[in-house]
Amino acid sequence: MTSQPEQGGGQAESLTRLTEQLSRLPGIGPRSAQRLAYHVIRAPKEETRELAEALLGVIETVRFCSICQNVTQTDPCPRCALPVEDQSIICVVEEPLDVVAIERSGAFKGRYHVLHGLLSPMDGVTPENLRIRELIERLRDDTVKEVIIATNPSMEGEVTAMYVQGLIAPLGVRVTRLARGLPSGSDLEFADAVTVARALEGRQEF
Amino acid sequence: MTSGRPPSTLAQSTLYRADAIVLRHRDLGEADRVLTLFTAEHGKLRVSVRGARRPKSRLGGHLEPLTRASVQIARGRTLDVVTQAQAVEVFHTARANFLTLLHGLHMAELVDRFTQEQEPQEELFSLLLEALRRLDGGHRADSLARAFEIQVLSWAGFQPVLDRCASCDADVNGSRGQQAFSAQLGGLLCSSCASRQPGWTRQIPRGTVRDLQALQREGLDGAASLSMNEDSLAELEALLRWYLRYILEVPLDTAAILDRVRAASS
Repeated sequence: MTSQPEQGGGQAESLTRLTEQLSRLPGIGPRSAQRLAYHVIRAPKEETRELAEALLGVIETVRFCSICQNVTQTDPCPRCALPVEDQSIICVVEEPLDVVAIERSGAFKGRYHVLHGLLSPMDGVTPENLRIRELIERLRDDTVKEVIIATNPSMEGEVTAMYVQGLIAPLGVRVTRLARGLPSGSDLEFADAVTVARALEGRQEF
Repeated sequence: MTSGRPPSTLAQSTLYRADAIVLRHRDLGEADRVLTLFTAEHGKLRVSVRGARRPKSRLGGHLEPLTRASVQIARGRTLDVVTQAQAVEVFHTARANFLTLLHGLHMAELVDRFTQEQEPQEELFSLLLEALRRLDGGHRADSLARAFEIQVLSWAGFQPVLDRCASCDADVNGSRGQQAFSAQLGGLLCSSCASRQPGWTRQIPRGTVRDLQALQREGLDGAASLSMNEDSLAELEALLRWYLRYILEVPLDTAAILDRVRAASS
């Protein structure tokens, strides 16, 4: 950042610091960071204070649920603390936002487990970097009968699913994978071969 | 399009096509991806695919790692952008098995590590394609990976010297039992040279030397004709991994995960 001339020329040090911090955020380049920083200066002081407090509030109160590893303010999280409709089923997802996506469907009544990442063979992400051990621990008692692996239908998602499946299968728990097929409202013509093949494999009685 | 140039001129000057194998991908922004493609025409390319992670993306599904696809690319300011893609070979069988898939990714990583962007390498492209086809056709994944490693080493100019001492050209065939292999000199050492070579030298069994010779002689076919037991395969893998580590100066990422998976399943 300091190499950029517009950052140096007499700009207040605190402003430079804010710009640098903002540019660390995903999707925020140096230009956007600078624009945001100047917006903060112009915005009402109260508004900015609220933003700062919200940021502090997040790091002070949000933690990981010791059971499902999702982000939460209370441990265990509300979902793990209260009885759910179906205790016997755990849905394994990559990240907290995937829980939100599945909840939005309203079609799942069990519990979740968040891995916080996917195995990525070419980036050196190994099982120790994920919350896989915690998942296996949850399967030790006999309440869980099925684990749904809901990782992305990408190479990393598949690799993770295969790895987790290999660990769970010996425990005698049923392992299922989300169906892969055609997205609703899409055009068959543009579907790739793997998707079409999977859609055919997973066809159902009409 | 804001430049005011007629669309036809724009299209002619900025679009190109390629026969590509997707080596790896990385997420970019909200729903985009950056791909590393290995193409027959232009060598290795880094390109972006807009919206590749959205469920209704017309491109994403055609461009998963280890897919061979026909792509149309538009020149962009920083990265070129894929505008059309059609998967040609998806290697469905290779992908369906965990270890096979990992070995396929291992081959892709090797190609990625040994190549520079925008240097056409048709020979290596054909080699990778053939290896993926064999992997998909049910060839034993680990011995195929070893054969591929030897071929890539030879292609890159690091073919191990196995018929004489890599240091003094003396005959090494007479010696029995273990034999010294130097990563630094890229081959076997006679006993007197071995005693003078301190770093990056290891002892390998004669059987491993024979396996290496067979793989060098027969190319990818060597993988199928070798009757290797688990111990000698492990020995060969360890040697090649160590040699590659010396040449590349970094360990291979795919090797780390292969080890974990094997440890978990044993």
